Amino acid sequence: MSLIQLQGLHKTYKTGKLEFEALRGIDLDIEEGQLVAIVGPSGSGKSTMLNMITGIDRPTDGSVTIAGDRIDQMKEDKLAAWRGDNVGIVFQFFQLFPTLTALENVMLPMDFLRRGTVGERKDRARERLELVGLGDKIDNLPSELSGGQQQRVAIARALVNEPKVIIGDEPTGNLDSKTEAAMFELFDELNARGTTVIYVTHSPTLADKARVTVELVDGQLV
Amino acid sequence: MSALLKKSWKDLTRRKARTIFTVLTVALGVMGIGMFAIMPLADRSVEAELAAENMHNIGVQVTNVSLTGEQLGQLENLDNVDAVSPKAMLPVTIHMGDRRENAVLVGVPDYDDQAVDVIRITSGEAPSYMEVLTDQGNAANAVISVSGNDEVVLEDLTGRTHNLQVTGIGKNFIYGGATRGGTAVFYTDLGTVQRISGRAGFTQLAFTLEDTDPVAMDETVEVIRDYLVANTSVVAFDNLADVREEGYWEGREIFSQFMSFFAILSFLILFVSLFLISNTMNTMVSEQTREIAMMKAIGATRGKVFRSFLTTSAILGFLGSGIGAVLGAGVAYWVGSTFAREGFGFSPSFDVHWPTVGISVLVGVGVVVAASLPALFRTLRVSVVEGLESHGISADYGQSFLDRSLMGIRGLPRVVQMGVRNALRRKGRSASTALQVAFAVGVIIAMLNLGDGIIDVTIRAYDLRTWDMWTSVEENPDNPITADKAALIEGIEGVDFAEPTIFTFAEVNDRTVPVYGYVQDTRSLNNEGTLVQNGQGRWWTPEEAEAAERVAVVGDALSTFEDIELGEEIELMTATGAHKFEVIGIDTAFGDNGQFVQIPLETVQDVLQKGNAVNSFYLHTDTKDHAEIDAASLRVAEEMESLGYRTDTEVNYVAAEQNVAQNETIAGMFLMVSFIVVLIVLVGLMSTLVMNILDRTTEIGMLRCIGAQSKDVRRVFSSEGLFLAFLGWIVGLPLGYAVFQVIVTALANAMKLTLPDRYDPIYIGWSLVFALLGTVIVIFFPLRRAAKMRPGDAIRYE
Repeated sequence: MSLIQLQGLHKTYKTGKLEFEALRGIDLDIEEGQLVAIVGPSGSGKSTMLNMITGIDRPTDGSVTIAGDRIDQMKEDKLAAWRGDNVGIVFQFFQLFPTLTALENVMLPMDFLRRGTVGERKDRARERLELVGLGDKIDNLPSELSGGQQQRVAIARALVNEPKVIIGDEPTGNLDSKTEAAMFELFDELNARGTTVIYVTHSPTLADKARVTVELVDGQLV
Repeated sequence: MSALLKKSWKDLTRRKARTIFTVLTVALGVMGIGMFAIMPLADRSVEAELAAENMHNIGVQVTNVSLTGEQLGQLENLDNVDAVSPKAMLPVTIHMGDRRENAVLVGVPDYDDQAVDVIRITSGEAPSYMEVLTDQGNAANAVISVSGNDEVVLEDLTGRTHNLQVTGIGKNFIYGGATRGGTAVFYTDLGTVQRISGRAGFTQLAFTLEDTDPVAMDETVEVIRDYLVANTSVVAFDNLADVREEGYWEGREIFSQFMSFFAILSFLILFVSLFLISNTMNTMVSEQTREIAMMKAIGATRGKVFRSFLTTSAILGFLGSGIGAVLGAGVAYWVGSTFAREGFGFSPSFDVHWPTVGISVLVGVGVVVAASLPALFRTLRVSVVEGLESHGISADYGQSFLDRSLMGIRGLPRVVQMGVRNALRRKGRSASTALQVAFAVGVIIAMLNLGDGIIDVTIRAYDLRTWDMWTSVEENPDNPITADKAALIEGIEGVDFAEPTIFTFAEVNDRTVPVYGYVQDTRSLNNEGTLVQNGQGRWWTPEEAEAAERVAVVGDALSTFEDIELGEEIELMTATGAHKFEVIGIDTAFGDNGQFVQIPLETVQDVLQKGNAVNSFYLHTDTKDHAEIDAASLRVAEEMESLGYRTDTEVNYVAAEQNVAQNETIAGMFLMVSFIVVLIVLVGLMSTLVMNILDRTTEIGMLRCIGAQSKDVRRVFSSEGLFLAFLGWIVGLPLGYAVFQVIVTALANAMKLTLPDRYDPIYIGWSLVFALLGTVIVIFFPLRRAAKMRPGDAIRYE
């Protein structure tokens, strides 16, 4: 059975009197352990589809099933807890919390799930930061880190609960090419260990590196 | 509408909740200014009433003087006199079933020809012989309750009863006031008063004058006195002449003080709303940094951008001020009309004081525009590049010492840590919010302590009184009461000791003060404690009393207000004219707010030409049991009435309880003021949190993305709110002490009212409870909004 199943997915946004159909009947299955790139022009519905997979947004019609769970039918709080447990998200603008240190940012998803003792959380967060090469920056605030370093913290945060899926919404969109390559190496490594990785990208290089490429145009798969 | 103007308007409608908050706060502030209209409105409505009755400029009370038509004509022709109206007033008792209530009968010579202090007939007809009009105050009073068609039974001082038919309802500003003190008032003809009293003549002479300058009026009093003494049976006025200055009305001073209290409140409201407006404009301008840069990038000059935002704040100002001005005019009329109805028994028609409305709108708009300027100037200085790269809230936390200090706090749950640290991200906004809370905490602590202090002082003032009852005796020209009647009173069961005294009024430099005539060896004062121990002079000697020396001991507050020093000579304007006294002591007793004059009994008798007559007695009972004191007071009233004297007794413990209750009401009002301030501050706090939530909507989305449940989001923001409230409370403690000290010092200087130097620590604890509880309540809705936000919507929020 597929890890991710999108069936008859529609999403319409309403802004005042205007309606915009971002997704128009998506059917997609993604197997466990895949490395998937979602590509397409701006406004084609790439980020919207990712938001459906993470449960950040809900479909207007259709279903989203992840590891057997119908997440489109879950209540908000249950969904948040599910997301914390099963999905790690990396954003283009890193989205770290500016008042928390790198270590605290990484600990946060574990805090929400009340996973282990505070000491255990700290140890695991430190491990993850060492994994992304930031073992010496754990007490730094985001404002004291470079863009690449911030994105590594964001990846460490996404990994900390050992999710089944890592989702990246243009995760290298704000990085230089050298850092972009390093980031992809990290994704590749995670995928090699069995984590399903899905990312949206505009970069042809990054898209070519994926094992599966999904292309979207005007809200439809092509 | 130009695109720029459209943008100004739409900037407001983009954040509806915030705009509504700001508009309402401005409205509240402007409404506060609108309350300044209460006083001029009250003046206008009361003056209209006074004009309708042709209120006297000079009113004198005399002992039953007969005046011929020719003499009345001569009085009218006296220098500066415009018109004169004589009336006869008689104290009686009204039978209300088994009850007896005090009443007065006012005799008018001719209802169709009233020149001064006109009795107006509101329904029914003018009374003839043995008929009366009931004052509208009686008709509205549940205790007296006499309506237009009843028959009343009045009892005179000899105990005879008289049945009088009520022909209608009348009203008069001066006489009707007694009904609010519980005395029934009836208007009749002169013949009826003569029949019931058994005496012909007048007791009240009311004059209107051509020149109402204070000096001219004082001179006219002397002219009237000289005429009456020279041409009639009048020896002296019975009491100080009632000289009414232009614009004066009974209760105006107290009402004005009350309104000053409102004025302080208005300023507090305006002050607090300044913070909120400034915060709102700050946020509005800051979050549009990128838009401002874009406007500049496509060719907008700084002036154009400036005008656009200025228009936005002006619209806010006009909206808030408009609503506030309407509310203010409504509240001002409501307070004024309630006061007129409750205090004077008339309902003025709707009236607006336009100058106040105009000023309140101008101030409202001005304040809003001024509050938005700092944020606007700051943002205009941001370069186009910086602006375009701005993503709303900058992630520059951690640069300051404060940020680092907070990061050092360990052991808090992560969400609480986030909340507390978040409070420092917008330092300016947080500082102003914490200051608002501090201000509210300060005001509430100061007001609570002030209320306590006033009640303490009241209790202390009554504790100083050594007597149990003070019985004043109605003057009876046929049977004057003399000091030697004390022995008779002492014979009444329960009365241990009776001390004769005279109580009257006099003017010291135009300030009307009570004057007490005491026996030299008085046992009714604690002057050892309040006078001698304070080293402010001495009490008079037996020799001075016997010789009726012109010596006086004055109250501390009076000495301050009128700059009177020991050994100085003061002039007292009394019912018999001006007399000079040497000040031999300054008394720090609290009674009469420290504004009184004490002189030897023999001196008062001499000055007022009373012979051996007195008008009251201090009674000391042989018990402190309240029930027994009540019984003794009843026996005194009955015994005295059987002797032909109508009395009115003030029981000390009852008066103390009443005064404490009144002052508790005042303390309650202080508390009300602080609650209003707290309420506004809480609105400010709520607004700050709403803005913080709006600012960090994307972050809320992110929190949800990484697994935060709604309770986690709630905890982040409630920690932030409670931290701000706690900070405010800490700052508010010294501020509260300072406010308290300022008020106490002001009271000490203005009223010579020395409040005890107490500052109850329990209120420090209470204020923390108030601050935190209030915060928990007001942040409920913003938190709910934050917790309900869907991550997808939150991330897309701009």
